[in-house]
Formats: sequence, structure tokens, C-alpha cells
Amino acid sequence: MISLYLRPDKTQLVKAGLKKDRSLYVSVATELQPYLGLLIKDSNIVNHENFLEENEQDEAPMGAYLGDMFREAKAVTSFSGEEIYLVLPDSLFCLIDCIKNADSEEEVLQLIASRTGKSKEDIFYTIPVLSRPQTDLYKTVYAIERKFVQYLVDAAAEENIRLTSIEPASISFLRTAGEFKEAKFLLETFEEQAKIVSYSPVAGVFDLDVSDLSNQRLQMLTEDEICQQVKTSLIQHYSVADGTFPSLAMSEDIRFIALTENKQLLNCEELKPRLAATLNFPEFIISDIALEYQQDWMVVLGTLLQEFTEKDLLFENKPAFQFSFQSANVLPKEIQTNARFWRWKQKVKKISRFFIVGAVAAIAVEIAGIAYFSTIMIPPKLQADFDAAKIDMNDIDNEIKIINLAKTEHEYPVEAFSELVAKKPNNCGFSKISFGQKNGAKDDKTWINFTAVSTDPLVFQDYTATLSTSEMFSGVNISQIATDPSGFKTATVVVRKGKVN
Amino acid sequence: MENKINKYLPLLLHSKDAIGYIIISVILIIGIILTTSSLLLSYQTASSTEAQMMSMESYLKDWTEKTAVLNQSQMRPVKEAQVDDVQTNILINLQFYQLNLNKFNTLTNSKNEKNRSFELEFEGSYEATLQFLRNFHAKDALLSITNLTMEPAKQNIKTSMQYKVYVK
Repeated sequence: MISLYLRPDKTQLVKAGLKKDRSLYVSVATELQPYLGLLIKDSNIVNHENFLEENEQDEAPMGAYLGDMFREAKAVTSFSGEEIYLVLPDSLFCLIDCIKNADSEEEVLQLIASRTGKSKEDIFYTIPVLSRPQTDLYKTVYAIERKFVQYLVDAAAEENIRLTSIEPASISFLRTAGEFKEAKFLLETFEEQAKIVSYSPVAGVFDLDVSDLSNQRLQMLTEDEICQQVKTSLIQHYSVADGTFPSLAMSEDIRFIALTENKQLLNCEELKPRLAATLNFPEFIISDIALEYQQDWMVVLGTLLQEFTEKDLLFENKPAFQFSFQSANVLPKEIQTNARFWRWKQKVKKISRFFIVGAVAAIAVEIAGIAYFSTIMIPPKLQADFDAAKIDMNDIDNEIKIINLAKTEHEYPVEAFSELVAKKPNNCGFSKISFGQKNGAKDDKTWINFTAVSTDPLVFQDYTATLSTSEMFSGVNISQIATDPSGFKTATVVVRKGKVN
Repeated sequence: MENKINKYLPLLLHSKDAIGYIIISVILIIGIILTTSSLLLSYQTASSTEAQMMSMESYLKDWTEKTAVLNQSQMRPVKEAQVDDVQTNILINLQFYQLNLNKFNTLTNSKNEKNRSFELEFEGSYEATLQFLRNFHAKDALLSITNLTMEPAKQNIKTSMQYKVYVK
């Protein structure tokens, strides 16, 4: 949120954000060139009733001058799509007064017309304070000439800005100051203008023009003359205030809050005892502004608290009777709605732009991904090799199976016989030897059967013992020893299969 | 909320640029949904293709290893038609080592077995018999001796053997 206070001597700018805990965080507080003079001068030149039509036809619209303010604000804060709140000095308002028992809008308009001499077509008005201390209802009316508002709205539109609010300075200040139970007198002086704005919870706000206290007038006076002038103005104020706030006006307890930098005025003995101490921001406003300068920024900040409701800390010290302190936004409801919609649209467009860029990038990445994944295919050579291998595989498996079968069925007689002969003692021979079983029978326990022949039967034991040491044979047993007709000893030996091949 | 809709909807309908942005955004949302599903589908297909390729490569590796095993093997099963040639070779070898053939039989195998079994009985010197047995082969045909019996017969050795010719 950006707030601009168009003072006659300068323009105050504040950029702040509302946090979730309802605190207002001030990020920028600075001063720009004065633009109020341009507003007054240019809006008087322009025929405000036909302002829009003229602007559309004119190549160099008058609003371009005031547009400099928005351009300068943009340059300082780099805002885009922010809510812009304007605060105008009370001196620009043609009526600030509290009226009693004006129930209908017609009555209010009649009163404004009678007091200002302007018709309802020429003014915008707002009723920010309603108070019913007893039976009577007091309404505080702020009225401003339509041309000022229209000119600001159009100048902002020229810079592609839609205004959120235009409020009077005193309401904005009173909102920041809080303490709605307490009556206050605001003494505002500028180069050519001076006003006393009085606030009381029982009746509301009214103003008194005290132009004799303007800086320009006071410059021409001596100290004594200044004090005399102050005294005269205060008497005038007491007289007016007494009519509006009986029993309060002369109270010594009600202090003047000096919204002026004129030291001659502040040092005046007539005023000094009635001056209030410098005010500070409430605790929910967080800023780097030094305590002694905080009062100077209360006007420009207060307008940003418009959305605060009675549930907020701001309205903690509200009068017990029927009382409301609302927004003093003089912008017509239609312009406010259009501005809200315009900001909403800007947000939608901004989000959409980011989304469109992101989505296009995402789609491009995804298309690249699809293109990449589409290239992953089985290479034709691999497919051809696989198909060929698949045809061969059964034959290969079958052939390997047959080779393995052959290894288990082969009895390796040559290898076994060579081992038997190699380990045979000299005085021993064979009469019959057989390897394996006949007709496909398989029994490794009786792998070799042979008949050994010798003159000495002890040789058989030695022989079998020697054969047992061979890995090829896992068991060597003599099943029978006999004597043949020629007198030789014969031994029938059975050999169990060991590790062959 | 309803109030806001009632307030902003007519304004929105008159705001061509906002509608344009919204339409483009909606089209892009649909585009993203379509491309995302297409991407997922093509990723799934690619993953499946890669898995298939890995499986094929593994199959080919297995094929290569098995082929290498076969190529390293000196003896291979023969075709049915080659069995007679194998048998002829064995008998020629018998003659080559001057061994006398006493008996030759074809044995009956079980019904399902393609391999062929034979029985051979011959006589000859001890050295010739051993030479024959050491060189018992017929070209590169896969053979196995399932039974062998040797016993003396006068001055010679009588050998009877049963062997199998493996058929692929």
C-alpha cells in the first residue's frame, strides 16, 4: 500500500504492508515535491464536468502535470499494482462540520448546499464519524469539490493507476492517534493556510479557518503581535467550539496538537500551556521513523488503517455510547469498485503472465521429454540377433544337456584301467576286469569288478590299500579270495567310483 | 463471496484482456495435462523398451556363453542320419588295429531316448586292444562307453563293450 499526503509545502509518501497479525509494517517513508499547488491550479483551469471528454481529445492532457507525482512515487518505491491512498489537507475541503439530527441524505445535501453554496453535482461528501451520546445523533460531514477528486482520479488513470482512497488529513491523523474517547484540537498551519480542527467523541469534527495564523501572515508580525493574533484566534475558536461542544471547549484538559513547524507560533505564551506532548505511533505500526518525528507522519499513515475494524487494537479506546469512526474516503463507490477490480485484474494478469511463461516452459520441457523417450527403441541389429538366438537356443540347450548326460553316463574305462595298471604290484595280474553295468544300468558302488591273480595273497591287501589312495576310487573292497585249479590265489575286487574327469 | 462475484463478474465480462489471459491459462492447463499424460505414457513405454533391451542383451549373453561351451566341446551329438557313419568308423578302426570282431549288436533303448546303444565283442592283442580303446572315437561324434569287460582268451584279450552314440 502506498499513501501520499499532498501538503501545500511538500508531498509525504509512505509505503507499508499489512501483516497477518494486523500490524502495519512501514518500509518506505519519504518526501516528494509539493503537488497540491498543481492540483488546485490545474483543476481550476479544467471544466471538470467535461473533463474526461476533453482529456480524450487532448493530446497533452492537463493531468500530465499531476501525473509527475505518480511518476516520482513510482520511481521512489518501484510499485506496481499497489493500492494508492491519497490524503488531502483539510483546507481543500469546502465543509468540515458535525451536524445534529440530519437523518436523510437529502437533509445532509441541503445543509451542504446552504453552507457551501454548491449543488450535489459539484461535490463529493463523506460522513466518517457518527455519534449518539444521548438521544441526538451527530454526523460529521466532510465535503470536497468534485473537480479535485475527478482531477486526481484522471491524473492517476493517465499513469495507469487506480486510486483506492482520497481522505481528509484530519480524519487520517485522528485515526492514527487513536484514543477516540479523548477530545482533541488540531492546529494545522501552512504557508498560506491555517486551520483548527476540533474533535470530540460526543459530536464529531468541525473546523475553523484561522488563516491569520498562516506562516505568511505571521512572518509580518512581531512576537507580541503573534501572541495577540493567537489569542484572538483561540477566543474565536472557543466561541465556535462552545456552540458545538458545550462544556468541553474551554477545558484546560483538552490540548492542542500542533501540526506545524512554525516555531514562532509554538513558542507563543498564549498557546504553549495548551500544547500536547508530541504523539507517537501506536504499537501495531512498525517503522524506523524516530519517535520525535512520528507525529509528522501520522496523517499520511492513518489513511492506511481504513480497513481496521472495531475488533482491532486501534478501536480499543472507543466511547461506550453509540459511536463509529469510519473511512472518510470521498471516492464514489463505483470508482472504488472499479479500482478494486482493476487491482484484482492486474494481480490476475501478473499471476497469469507468470503461469503462462511457466506453463509454456513446462510444456516445452515435456515435449522435449516425449521426443527423447520416443527415440528409445530396440535397435534393429539387437532385435535380429535376438530373433536368431531365440531360434538356436532350444537346440543349444538340448545339445548341452546331451553333452552333460554323456559325461555322467561315460564310465571312463581307459582312464580307470590305466590307474589300475599304474598302481599294480609286479607280482600281481588280472584275469577278468569289467567297468560299469550292462544294458544301461548304473551303479557307481560297483563301478569296477576285477579278478586279481597272484602267488602271494598278501599282495592283494597291499594293492587295494594302494588303490584306495587314488582320488579316482572312493572305495576298494576285496569281496572274495580263492585258489584256482593251478594253485594261484585269486581275489575278486570291487571298486567304488571316485572323482573321474 | 457471492457479493464479490455479482460485483466483479459484469466487470470481468467487459475486460477482454483479462478474459484473454484466463482463456490462454485454461488452454495451457489443458495442454499441460495432455503433455504430462503423454510424457508419462512415453516414459512408461521407454522404460518397458529399455527393460526389454536389457532382457534381450542378457539372453544374447547367455546364448554367447552357451555357444562358447559348445564350441569348446570336441565331441558333439550327431544327427540321426550320421549314426551309421559313426558305426562304420568304429568298425574300420577295429580293423585298423587288427582286432577280430566277434559280435556286434544294436541295443534297444527306452522309447523316448533318441540316443543309440551298441554292443561290440572283439579279440586281439593286449596292446592293440588298448590302442583301440584309447582312440575310441568317430570323427567328432559324442560317444560314451557304458560297460567294458576284458578277459583273457588264449593268447589274446577278449573285450566286450557297450557304448552309446548321442543323437541331437
